[in-house]
Amino acid sequence: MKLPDAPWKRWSLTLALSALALIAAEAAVWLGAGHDPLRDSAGRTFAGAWLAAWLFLAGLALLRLLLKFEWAPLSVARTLLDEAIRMRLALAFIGLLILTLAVLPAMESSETPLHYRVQTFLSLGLGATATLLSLMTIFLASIGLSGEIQDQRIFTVMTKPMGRGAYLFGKWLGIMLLDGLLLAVAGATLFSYAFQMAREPGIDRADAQAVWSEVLTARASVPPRPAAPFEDKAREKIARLMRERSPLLQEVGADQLFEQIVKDEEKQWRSIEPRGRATFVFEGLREAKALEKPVQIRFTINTLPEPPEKLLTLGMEIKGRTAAVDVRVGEYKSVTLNPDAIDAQGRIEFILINENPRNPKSSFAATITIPPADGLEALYERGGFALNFARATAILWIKLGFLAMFGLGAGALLSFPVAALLTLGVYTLASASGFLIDALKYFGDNEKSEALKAATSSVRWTGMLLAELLGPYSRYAPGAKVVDGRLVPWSDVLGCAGWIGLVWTGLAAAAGWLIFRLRELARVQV
Amino acid sequence: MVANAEPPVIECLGLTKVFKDFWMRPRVTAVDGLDLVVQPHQVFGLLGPNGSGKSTTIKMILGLLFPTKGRVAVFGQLPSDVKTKARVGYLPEESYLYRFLNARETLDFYGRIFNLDRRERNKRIDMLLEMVGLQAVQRRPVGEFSKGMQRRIGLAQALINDPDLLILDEPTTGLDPLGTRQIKDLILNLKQRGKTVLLCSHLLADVEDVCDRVTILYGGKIRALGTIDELLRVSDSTQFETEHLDPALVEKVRELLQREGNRKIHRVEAPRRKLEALFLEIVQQALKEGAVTSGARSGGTVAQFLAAGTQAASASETTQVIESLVNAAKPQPPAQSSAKPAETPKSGADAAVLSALTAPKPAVAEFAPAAESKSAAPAPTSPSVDRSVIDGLLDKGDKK
Repeated sequence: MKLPDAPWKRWSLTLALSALALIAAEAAVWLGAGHDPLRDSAGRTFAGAWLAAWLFLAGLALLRLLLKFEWAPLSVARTLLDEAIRMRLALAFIGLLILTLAVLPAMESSETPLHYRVQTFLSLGLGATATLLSLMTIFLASIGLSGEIQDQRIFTVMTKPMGRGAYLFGKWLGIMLLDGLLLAVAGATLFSYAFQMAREPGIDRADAQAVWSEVLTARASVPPRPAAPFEDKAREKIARLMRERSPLLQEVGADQLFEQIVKDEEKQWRSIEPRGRATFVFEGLREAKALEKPVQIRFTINTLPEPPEKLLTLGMEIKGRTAAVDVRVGEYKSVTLNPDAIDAQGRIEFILINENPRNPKSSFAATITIPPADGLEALYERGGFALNFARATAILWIKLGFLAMFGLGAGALLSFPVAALLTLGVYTLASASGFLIDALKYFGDNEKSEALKAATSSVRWTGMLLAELLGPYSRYAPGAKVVDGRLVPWSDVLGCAGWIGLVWTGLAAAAGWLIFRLRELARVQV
Repeated sequence: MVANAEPPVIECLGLTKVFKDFWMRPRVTAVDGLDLVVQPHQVFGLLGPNGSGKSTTIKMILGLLFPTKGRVAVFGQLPSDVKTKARVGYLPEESYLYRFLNARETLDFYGRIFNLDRRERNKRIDMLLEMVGLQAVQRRPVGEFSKGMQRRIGLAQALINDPDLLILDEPTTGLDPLGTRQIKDLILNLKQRGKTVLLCSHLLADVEDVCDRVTILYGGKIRALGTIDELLRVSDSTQFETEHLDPALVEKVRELLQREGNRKIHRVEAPRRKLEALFLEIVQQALKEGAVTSGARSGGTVAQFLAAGTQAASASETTQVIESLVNAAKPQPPAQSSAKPAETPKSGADAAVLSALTAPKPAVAEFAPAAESKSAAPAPTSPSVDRSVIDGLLDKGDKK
């Protein structure tokens, strides 16, 4: 069959044919499953994939229209978009992304609590989007310049009235626009699937509510502090040791001893002995009180040994009132409090009791510990999920911008495979920098041989230096926050835009431009 | 001379290029102290065997390579200067194009780099596609084109900006005789409009047909430089061409020469047509009969915006409009264009009319000035020019 020449006719025909194919697929679901295809997971997958694909195509047409103006970098960007689509490289990633996002909701078991299902979907969806787009960006950027130099297309382009900086910018712009479009499509798909899943019945009422109060929201987090600062306690202890003229002060030194006492106090504060209690104070909750937003106390505990079925009943006391709470060891528990629990100073005093208040005698006799960081926190709603999701997407886009510029810069100097490997290496190192810093901290400590110790030490410091340099890349990781329904603050977006968007991308651009400018495009090595 | 009063279009001074190995040790001196000046309105030929430094020289002129020593200026500026590049058109030795773009998109892409507005761009694209005979396949991806078709679209992209300087690196490689003839016509046409062309070719007949001045390179150095006439004139012999003579009359001429000047006639023969002319005649006939082809059609006339001043009287008004549009659209109007208006064609109003090209070779005396004979008709002129100077040098190069 010969397709019509006019683009709008071709598009109309493709739209009509694909719509017919979708209707046929939905009809098959209807006839096979015997119920509404849009309530069936397979039916939704077809419809979602079709919508995402058309959203992408419509966005692409819009971008091509926007890039029609007579300015050389726009022309380069438009050609890059065409290349990405027509040479199938980007199309493979795009197809995979759309398919992954469409299939993910259907993979969840209906026996899993609904809010976990939505969280898992968001987590996998965001992870797949970030990974696939990063890989696509790396490949497109690495081949963007090196490919043109390699097959000498650059001869024709760079003899036209366009500076090398403008050309580099055009390439980067093209990749950024493609990434932006794909992020928008993937974001819209994730967002709409998540909201559709959230309307399904949960395993109980609390589960159904948790989707909206713990996942599809944007909550601010307040960490606890002890009733009295650890430093005060440490000072008291040091003063006592001085009065007693303790030899420990001479042996260890006052400063080191002070630090050790602060650490021990914090550890002790997070550990509650059987029948013991610990007070945790959350401050800065005036806004929640003013907005009359409920506050969630979210915590997890560890015990040694573990109770049967890992289930433990603890007591908690707020404003003099005690209640029992069932906690599963190693899992997070959220307790929602009325805004009245916040006092006039914007504080909540939360006391956790290692005893079953319903039946103290049946209490499990083991010390419980609360892990640091997010082991215990107070959360309250600070904004909507949509804007939070948009901020997370913006951070991801900024990070992709850095990868694109780094890849282009690498491609100005190196051949495609080498440039791609280098950029991939930087991406892997940057993404894992948080983990690497923790892992390398003690690397080689147990080596006995001096030579090995020196070798591992140099590896450690080199790795630590690189991981520290690339640290912001993993620190600005909004995915986990979105999945947990936490606020991705504007300060994160601005920080990421400043550090990664301006400083890093700017440095990569400057280096890439310099290399490209000094490079002989028709270089022959003999 | 007017041409010499204007600043040169290309000026190379002591131009040297040494290629190095991985360890940055000098390995090959591709161009060695080259001094070259290309004046405005000239068709300048760069000749030489493989590895003589032609392409390296061109790439330095275009800023794709940096000289190891010496200086190169194009329109008095560095080759990398964006304003300079706006006045240059370049056809590389192979058509390095985006395989995924179709012919129309390819020209649109390059047109936008030149900041040509949409209306002007589309007009030029239509004309160029018509000119190179690719209008029927304009929606087909360039990657699917044959080599000849790729050369045609490559040529079109080099002309999209109506360049003041056109650099053609082996422009006829891969082209059929029709395309080859068309390129030669185009070069002559551009010359008539006061443009400058730098032509690098292995096909000596092509160079001979269109170039005003030629330089022959070997080992990165200039071995010969001058006009075609200066280089090719054989001053110790004379050649006549006349209507058919019967043997008795030939004998009388022979006796007369022997008697009056003690000269001998070495060869008497009937002149032959060139194969190119025969080929073009056959294709023209096939076109008239409406024969079908899936490839490039025979190109149309030279695009109006490139052929301004050479079109038929009926088209003159349109041509003027286009010419004014072309000038208005240029980022920097060339100094020489305003200083020297396009030359009036001496004969043959439409330089690209195929029927004229397929006509038998005109009878032109060998001793007529070369430049005159070229401008008199676009068809090949010299019946049996002695190319010993060029061939000798090239043979020498090959043997070495």
